[in-house]
Amino acid sequence: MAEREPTDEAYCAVEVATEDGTPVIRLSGELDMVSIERIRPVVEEVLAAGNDRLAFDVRGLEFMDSSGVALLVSATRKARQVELRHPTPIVRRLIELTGLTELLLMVP
Amino acid sequence: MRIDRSFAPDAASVRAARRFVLDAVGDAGQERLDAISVMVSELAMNAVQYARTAFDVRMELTDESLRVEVSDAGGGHPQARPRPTASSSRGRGLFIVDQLSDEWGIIPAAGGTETSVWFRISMRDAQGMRS
Repeated sequence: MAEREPTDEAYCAVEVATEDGTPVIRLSGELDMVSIERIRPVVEEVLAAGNDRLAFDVRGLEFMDSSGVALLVSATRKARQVELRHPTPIVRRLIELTGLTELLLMVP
Repeated sequence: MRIDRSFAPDAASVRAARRFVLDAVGDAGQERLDAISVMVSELAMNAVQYARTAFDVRMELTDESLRVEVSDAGGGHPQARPRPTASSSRGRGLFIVDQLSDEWGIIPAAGGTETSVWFRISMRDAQGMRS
């Protein structure tokens, strides 16, 4: 298998869409302490626009650690409702074991 | 199999450390690989954020289990916290390691400055076969 060494900027992709009036932040790739630096301002911008509902579509998120958990927690502090759509098994496991199921709505 | 590698005290090393361990482990089932990857990331992140020194990743892989130890020369005293509240913004790293590993521990800087945090995870599945 060929070595792939994507640049730091490329290994977590983010895209913002609106579905039924709710902003949806789609994340794919690997979310860690480096890639999160690019994602955090996008989330803050969506929240600053006065949205009290926010969804993350994470079906393409292959990796996340406690940096991602912290990002989701901070979003739940600022938005009235945060949905986490289509979590991959590792994302679901982290959300469950850190108790975030109390703070956000997981949509399978 | 034992392998060691040293990483620069740089945020980019966190991902490099994950890849280093995953490449050495090879195929072990996605759920276990995910858990290993998260734990390596947490330990490497601790070293980069709190110690700010180069850190070593030492792996010991057998048919039975994988042990990974991350050592830095920061002389810090990482502490496991009780389950963080859902809304706290930090302090989840070692809690996550505690939850995903079979065993883990901290080897504090006794006299010297090297602090190590390690975890062990079983490489056998429920049927007792290496997957």
